[in-house]
Amino acid sequence: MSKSQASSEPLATDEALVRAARLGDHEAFREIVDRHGPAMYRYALHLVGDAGDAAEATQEAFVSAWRSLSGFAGRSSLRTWLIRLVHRRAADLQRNRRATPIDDGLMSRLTPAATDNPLQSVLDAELLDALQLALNELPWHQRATWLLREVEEMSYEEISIALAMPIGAVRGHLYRGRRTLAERMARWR
Amino acid sequence: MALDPSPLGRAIRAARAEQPPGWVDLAGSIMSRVRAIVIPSEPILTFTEQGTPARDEQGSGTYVSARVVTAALRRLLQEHPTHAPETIDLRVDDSRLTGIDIRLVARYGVELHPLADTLRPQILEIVEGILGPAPGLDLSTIEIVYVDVTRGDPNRT
Repeated sequence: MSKSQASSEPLATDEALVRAARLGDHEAFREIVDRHGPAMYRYALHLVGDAGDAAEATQEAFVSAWRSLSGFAGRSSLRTWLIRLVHRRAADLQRNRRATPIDDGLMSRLTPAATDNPLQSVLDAELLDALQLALNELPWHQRATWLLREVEEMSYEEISIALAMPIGAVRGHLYRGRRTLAERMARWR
Repeated sequence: MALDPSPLGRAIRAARAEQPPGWVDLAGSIMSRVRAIVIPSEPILTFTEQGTPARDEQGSGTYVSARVVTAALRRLLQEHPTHAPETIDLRVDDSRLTGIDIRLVARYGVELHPLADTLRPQILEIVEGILGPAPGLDLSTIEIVYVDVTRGDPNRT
């Protein structure tokens, strides 16, 4: 929004921001970027496992959103629509890339020393690295459904819309992804 | 709720709390890309104070992009917490502005007719400030339709 907003003023709703952004309001769109961008970028990062590709997917998703806001009918939430856009861009980028499987030995080498305090590892970046290695080995749809459900905390219905797949398929991919990740991450003790 | 002590449960908590590095720079880059996008927009003929389009003896004309007019009207219509623009459509015929259609969202409790009567002269003043006194464009050619009502400021809710 072009006018200055007092800090005590409640945050604008997504609906109000979309209404203004559709009319070319860059400030309103900036609020949308600030509100939803970090989650989109985080999702893309874990999905593709590469910061450059994730940044490109996120940027292209927002450029696409800006161009097509008039087509956003509000049938899903703005967040779900944006996740759908970044997922599509990430899929486009991945389509031409060859998968690079991670060998099991690498997971073992990342296992921390026995003297480490396990409580501190909650915030340890190595735990996230291990998760990423395990995620990289999951099939694409399992990785996407797991990330959207477990990290972004979206409902099955929202995931179904974002990934354009039936809810039953979401449940199936999620079940298999959870099982595989639990097995792989169990080595991290 | 008990914390999941499993490695996967701890990893999920860490991932949820993660602030992706480089986001601030990326957000700036996104907005630079967005601001650079120029959406095609119709040129609209401007008029002199005498109401003629010719700027010189050769009949040269000056045009302003419809986007400029729409942006100015958007800013005007966002100024007050009583209403917000939903759409702003300019009726252009042969590069001449012949009318303006505005769809507004109003705050609950606002007197709709007086508000529209207040806005029309302001809208006309803005447009004439940009395009000059376009012949045929007057208060009667500015259509205002209320399409929704909100509990609070429609610019924020």
